Amino acid sequence: MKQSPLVQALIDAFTCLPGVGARSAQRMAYHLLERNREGGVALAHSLEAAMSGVEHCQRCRNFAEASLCPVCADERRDHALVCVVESPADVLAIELSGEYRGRYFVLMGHLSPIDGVGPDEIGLDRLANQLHDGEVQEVILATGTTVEGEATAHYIHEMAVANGAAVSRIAQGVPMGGELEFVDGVTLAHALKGRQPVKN
Amino acid sequence: MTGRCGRWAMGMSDARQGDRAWVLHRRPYRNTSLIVEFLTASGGRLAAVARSGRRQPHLQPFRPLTVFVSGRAELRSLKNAEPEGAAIPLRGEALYCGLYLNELLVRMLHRDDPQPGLAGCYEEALQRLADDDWPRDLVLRQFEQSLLQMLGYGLSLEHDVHGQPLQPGQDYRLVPDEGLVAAANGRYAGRDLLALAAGDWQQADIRRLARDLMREALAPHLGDRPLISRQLFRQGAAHKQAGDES
Repeated sequence: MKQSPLVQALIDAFTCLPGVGARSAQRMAYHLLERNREGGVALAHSLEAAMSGVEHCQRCRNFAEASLCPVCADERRDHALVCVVESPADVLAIELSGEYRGRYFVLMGHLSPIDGVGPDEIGLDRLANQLHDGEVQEVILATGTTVEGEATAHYIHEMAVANGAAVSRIAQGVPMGGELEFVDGVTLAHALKGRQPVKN
Repeated sequence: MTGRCGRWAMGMSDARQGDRAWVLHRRPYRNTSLIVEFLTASGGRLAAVARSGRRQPHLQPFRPLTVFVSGRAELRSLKNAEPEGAAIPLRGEALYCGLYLNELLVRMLHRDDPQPGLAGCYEEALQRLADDDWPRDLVLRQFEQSLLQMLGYGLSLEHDVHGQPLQPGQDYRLVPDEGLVAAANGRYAGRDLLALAAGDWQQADIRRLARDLMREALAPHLGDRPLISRQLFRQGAAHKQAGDES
């Protein structure tokens, strides 16, 4: 059975979402049409507004509605201290920790040669300029602990050292409140290797 | 059980029969799953869906695994992947080299084309990359040469395409997939090619020649897009230079 053209267009449009196939898209479309028209209209407005209004922050590449994101625009933060993360979700997680007063650089991914993602695709040319201009004094590497995350961290490390900036990598190991027996072997081995003397 | 090169295990992908494997590439699939490209000892390159794969930290490149897959379609289903020891510790430039090997394999190998011996060769290359005593370019060149050989594009450094021994005083050019052809003003000097064939890796210009020769021999098999991992070396070296100068 064929759908009416507008319904079919809506279903097709939903399939652009990650993890949404034809079947889920159909369910979403029917749900909005049958049970939640208001929600659907609100969704359409939000989508429209966000798609045309959200850009990348010119300094850190995070999502922003102005040329600078709220963090980069905040004068009270330390702008010479830059934490490099892979995604906006990482920024949110670090902000929630409440411990960090520097700014960020958001790669929106990591180096992944097989996927065609090289240094320029994750904005490292821009970070290189900031390092070169002396805007950045210290870099904290908070990329993932995957092989690609490590390669990305190493690349940025070389770049920062070449420009005379200090570099650190966030510690990796046993989660707080975690029990050792449930920690996987890879993490545990890393935690053992990176053990620290006990300070009084 | 690994069945590394056993004929009886060739091309089989039975869930009961584990196969020694290396992760070449992973990409997210659905919420927590992954589609993983493996290089397996007996089945060559194969792709499998790993359910909840993003929660399995050992599904990473450069870590020996025994994998159990099921299904016959091009995209298998990963039943289990057990780590077989620690990851090979590749750091810095060695890590770029490892990523280069993976990129090369994903571009050159077809799925489900068993390549007996290749996984062993790959493992040996990784071990050597982790070992600072081995010059990294030498490891890469040896791997590239073996890979071409195994895929049937082997390149003779002692004879030209007509089976004539190379002459020290003659220049040669490469006809990809065929071999070296004598040519006036060819890119490669016979003397250098013979030195390379004899395993003379001491001179920087012989090593550069080996790099250029391999690059030309690989090019037709890599498609139009440039290899991204090569950019990492080039720009990494530029940073190092900038750092030394400043």
